[in-house]
Amino acid sequence: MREESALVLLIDDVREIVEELLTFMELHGIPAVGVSDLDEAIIALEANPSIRVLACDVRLGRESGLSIVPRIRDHSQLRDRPFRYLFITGDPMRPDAMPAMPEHLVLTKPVQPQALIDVLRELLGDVAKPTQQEGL
Amino acid sequence: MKPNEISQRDIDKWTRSASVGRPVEAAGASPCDSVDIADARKLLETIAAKSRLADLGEQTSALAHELRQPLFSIAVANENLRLLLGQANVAQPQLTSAIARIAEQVGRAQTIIDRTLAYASGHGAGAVQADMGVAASNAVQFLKPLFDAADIEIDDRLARTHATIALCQVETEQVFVNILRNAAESIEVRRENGWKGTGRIAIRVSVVGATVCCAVSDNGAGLSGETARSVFDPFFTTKPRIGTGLGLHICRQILGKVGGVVTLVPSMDHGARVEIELPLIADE
Repeated sequence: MREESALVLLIDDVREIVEELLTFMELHGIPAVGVSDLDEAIIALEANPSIRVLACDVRLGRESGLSIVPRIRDHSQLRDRPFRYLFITGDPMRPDAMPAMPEHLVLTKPVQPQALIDVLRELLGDVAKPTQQEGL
Repeated sequence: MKPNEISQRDIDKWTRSASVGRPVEAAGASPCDSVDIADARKLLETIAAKSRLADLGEQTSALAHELRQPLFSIAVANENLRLLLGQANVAQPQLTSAIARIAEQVGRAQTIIDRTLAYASGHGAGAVQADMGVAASNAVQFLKPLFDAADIEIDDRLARTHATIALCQVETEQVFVNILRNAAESIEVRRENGWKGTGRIAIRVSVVGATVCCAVSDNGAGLSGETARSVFDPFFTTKPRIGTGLGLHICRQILGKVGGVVTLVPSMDHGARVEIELPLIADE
């Protein structure tokens, strides 16, 4: 689960989506790690201090992906890290009850891949520069 | 009129036909007002078909969510394929993997669509033989998006029993869909009243001698004994803004065609249990 310089944490309970997104981000030169639930997410954040952006599915099996926010706030080591949040939902017609949320972005599945990269780059700031492959 | 609408004429005819196979001649009604056995059976089929379309309509949002998952996988795998093909030293296994992922996810989407349309269209309504265990499993699959969205755990481990009955497969699935949907709604009602526990529905199918016994129990809001006696009446509903009020009535009508009975047993605490008994038939 540890990626030396991972900047993005992907959280989605659909294994196929996590696998494809990790390949996709690798091709775009954005180091990332992927997990399938919130418990794994917390472990991944603890193990990867370089992660700054969370791209999280809203519906994670029986969990709400939005719960990652209070989980981090209640975590003694993670709560002071400046995370930025991107939530990805397949169900825009049924918004979950939103806890007090930090600034965040929401994309609707199926997200256009280029739109996802654009948003992640925006959230990462200048850290991840476009690679040569983008022009392909 | 839309195909899934239930008309006033349907309601009038249905009300006069209190039970299939037992034509009702209301006092003072003219001969043309009576409903004979063939008409009653035809009417049941029509109402049941319309109810299935209503079920489909209520599932639309959840189905859209379910279909977005493979579509998202396909979109990203396709983009990965495009990027890989642009690389000078592309690895064949990576290309193969992306192509396989797209095919696999197309198959998943197709399965979701086929399963949904099979239920709504009444496919399988011709053959008068059904497997209760398969029907329970198919109904759970049809409603899976609903259960996922409502955070309800389904325990159907004791439902995987082979038991053949003299009903069409789609009718039998409709019985389970209606009962399971009511159970899920009861759990939602309990939550609306402040309960924060885990919603659970358990299905059990067993064969006792020449009878198939099925029980569907939930830990929802439950209901009073008086309500339990009324839920099988046509157009009875505790939620007038949604549903047709025909779900459990249709269950009783369908099961009654082959001598089956269905009862709703209220719990002293929370939840309820629907019990079904049907005659077993030999496999053809």
